[in-house]
Amino acid sequence: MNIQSRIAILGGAQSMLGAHRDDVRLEELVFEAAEAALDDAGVKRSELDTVVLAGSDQMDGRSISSMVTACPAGAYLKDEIRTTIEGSFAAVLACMRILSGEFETALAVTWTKTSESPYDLVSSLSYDPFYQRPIGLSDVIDAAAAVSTYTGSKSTLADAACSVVVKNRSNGEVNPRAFLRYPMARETIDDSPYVAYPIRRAEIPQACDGAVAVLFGSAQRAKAIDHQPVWVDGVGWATGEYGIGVDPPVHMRALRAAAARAYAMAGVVDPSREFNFAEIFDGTPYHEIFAYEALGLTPDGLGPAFILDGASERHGALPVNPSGGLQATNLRFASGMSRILEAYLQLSGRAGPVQVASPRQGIAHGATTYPAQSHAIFVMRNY
Amino acid sequence: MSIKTAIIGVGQTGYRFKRTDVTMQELAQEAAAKALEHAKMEMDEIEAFVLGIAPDALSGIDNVDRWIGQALGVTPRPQLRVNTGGTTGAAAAQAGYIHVASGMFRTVMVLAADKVSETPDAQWVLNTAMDPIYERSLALNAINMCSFQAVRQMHQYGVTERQLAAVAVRSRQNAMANPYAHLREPISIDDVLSSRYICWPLKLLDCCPRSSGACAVIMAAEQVAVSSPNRPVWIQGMGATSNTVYMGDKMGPGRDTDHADWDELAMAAATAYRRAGITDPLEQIDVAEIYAPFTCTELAAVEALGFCPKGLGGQMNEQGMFDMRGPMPVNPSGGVLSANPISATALARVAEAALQVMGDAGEHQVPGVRRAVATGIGGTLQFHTCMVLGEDL
Amino acid sequence: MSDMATASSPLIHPGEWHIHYDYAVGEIAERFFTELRDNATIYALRCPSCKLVFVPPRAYCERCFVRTTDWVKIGPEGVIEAFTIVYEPFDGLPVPPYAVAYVTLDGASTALANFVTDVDLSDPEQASAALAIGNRVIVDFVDERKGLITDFHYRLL
Repeated sequence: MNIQSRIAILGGAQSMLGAHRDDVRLEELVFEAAEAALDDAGVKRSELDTVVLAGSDQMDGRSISSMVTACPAGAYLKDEIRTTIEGSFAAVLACMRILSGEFETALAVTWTKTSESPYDLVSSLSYDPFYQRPIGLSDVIDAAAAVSTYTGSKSTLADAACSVVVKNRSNGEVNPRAFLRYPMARETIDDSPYVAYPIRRAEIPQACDGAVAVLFGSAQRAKAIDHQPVWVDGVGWATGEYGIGVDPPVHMRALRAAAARAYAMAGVVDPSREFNFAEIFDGTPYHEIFAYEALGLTPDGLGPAFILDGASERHGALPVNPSGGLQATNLRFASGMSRILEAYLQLSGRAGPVQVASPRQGIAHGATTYPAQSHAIFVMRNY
Repeated sequence: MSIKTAIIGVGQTGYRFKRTDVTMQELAQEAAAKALEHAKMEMDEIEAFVLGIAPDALSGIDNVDRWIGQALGVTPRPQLRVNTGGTTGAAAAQAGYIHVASGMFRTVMVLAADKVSETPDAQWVLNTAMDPIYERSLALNAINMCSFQAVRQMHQYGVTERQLAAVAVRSRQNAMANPYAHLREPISIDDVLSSRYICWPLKLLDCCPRSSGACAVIMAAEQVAVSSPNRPVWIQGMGATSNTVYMGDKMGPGRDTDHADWDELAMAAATAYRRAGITDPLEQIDVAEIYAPFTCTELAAVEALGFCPKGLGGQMNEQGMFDMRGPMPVNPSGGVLSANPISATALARVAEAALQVMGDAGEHQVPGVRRAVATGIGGTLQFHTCMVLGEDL
Repeated sequence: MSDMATASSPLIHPGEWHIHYDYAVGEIAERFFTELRDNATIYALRCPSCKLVFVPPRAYCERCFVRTTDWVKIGPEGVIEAFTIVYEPFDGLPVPPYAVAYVTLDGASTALANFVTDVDLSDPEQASAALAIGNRVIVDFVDERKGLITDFHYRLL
């Protein structure tokens, strides 16, 4: 299905970030992002047709957390719905709502305030209570086990992982929107202890609190704003096996399925040549490397070489996470929407010090945390 | 612009207090298999999935939707979860509709499941839905938030406890003909009036049960739906309206909407009706499946849907207006008062409404249904949905 | 297969969730709770656009979508807008019976929930008549206030 120039991004913004945004309640954090996104687009709340939320009850410590966040996100007496998989799935639903022709504008809002909740404990509750939870599985442990299924050189992979962290942290250093704005030295990573072999403490980014909002609109609505819209020309999403499944996890079968759908929709044939940048999930650096391959940015088996050769550096052939990614801004549940926002800013020429030169097309990727079971891919253009 | 979308298959497990014989994902499998059988389809033909799973703590597994996907053998197909509290199943149905109406998928399965019996007390979980800073320590939960509505109805419209009881009696009478319903023993007005107070003025028999069960609905685009062996049930219109979480905002002098009424449902219905071309709901709608977990909520709903003037729901109900053979049959399935598998409850309303239009509702079929309406409710009576289903494209 | 045990009774694996959360109250609510604790006063926030006085205080007006600005002292008397009397015990919730009411405190545009004390709840009919919508109440502050919503409750006038 061709959806070219039918879904526009009209604006977007994030709240102030912080390790502990104790100065605001969850609702107030959400309001900050929604208000800023509407301001960015020059659209009033009264002009909104629908609000699409994404949030996780257990991370928020509130059952049905959209009860308190719906109105600060702009939904008072409006159409509103909430999804839970990952922040970027609010954008998935927003895109479909625009395509259906029943809505002209859709504000997608997501948030994370993990300073309030015990993250590791919450993550362990996602495992089934009979076979997995008693073993003490958590997302980092699961991710480490996933990495163990890699069949290439383990030392090259570890070296590449280290390089991804160094790259993303150095990008984050110059990104005014990033949370961690200082670099990470290779030695610091090498010296840091293993959390679960082979994943080191320094490879798991510190989380922050924040909210992100992106306003989607129809082609008709895009004509009415005074700046150049960015188009979402391909959307794909998929959910894979629960925990470590039938396929080697490093293959990222669900990500491949999601990308295949988005690429087909947008008419992308050779992603390694057609994208000017990629904003992708790097909850651990290993995920970024496996995603290079799953997304077709480089052939299978050459993921480590893609970073070691410098291709994904900010000034490389295909910059990956010029924003610094999750390594610099780990918004946990809201990370995928943060990737969409950064991709939007790149394509509208407003990425500031991390702007890549004249981008025309890029992708944004949202994924559930470390076991990386669910993925959403957005192909975005500015022409 | 949007692609015409129809419901072509429905599967329900039947709703019971406990289902200790199956796990959560096996329960979901059961409903999925029944829906496929009803639609005469194979799982391979389903292109995308929407799972409606309400608060995780009710079943005790975080993100159980991702467990269910694998159990259905549908990975790595597109899958999305919706959680909007009580509205979950209806919001999932709306999300399913959008999957097809957007043109992105030809078929989608909407599936919702719950095992509420595995948490000892759902009201404790639902108390954690309340604002942790201002309201949670005041012991607010799903029952007393509806008591606040009933009290205001009694004050503003003179609704009586007997009128509320009549809603429970009719619902149970209908449930007796529905093998899927959880509570099927007949009850009388006196039974309701003499049952113990839970949260005044609501008594035990004014309240829904806690149920376990699953429901699945298959939707398809026109090109697929027209060759279905079942009569396609077209989604003619939908609407949703969200309100503030603060119940107190709907009571004081600054209120836009009143906690006694479901003005938000009236707004959602206005949108759905406009899309469906309904100008006279009483004339153009043949049956309603209403998400009414407590007797008082049904009165607010029939008024909001335009079936009777504000404040007269109780009287009209006593006069038989909403009986199986009355002018506007409400909840022929027995409704939520007879079965409440929380995540699946609102989807069951859509499923039952679709069965009525298909003519497949069995013993509780209302004769000659051409158009049905299904509603959902969630949060602090703050999330409302309305969907109009009909036999005409 | 024939050697396998057959299920005789449902096998139940018990599980419990103990998740500790630290909810940030935020600067707005902190002012509310500080005034409540230190000065036994209840404050609301007024929207500069629609002029409605919201309690619990909110940093923004959900309707006008602007930040609220003016703190307004409300109460200590008010009028009952809705109430219930809980007679059923629920896990994790207080021992019944207890009465909860939404009250519009004088000067506020919205109603605020809290317990109503000093009402004989043994007879539902009499108790509900005493708590009827429209009846007036006054705020009673507890002596040892901790900066929580339960630092006060309502008492019938």
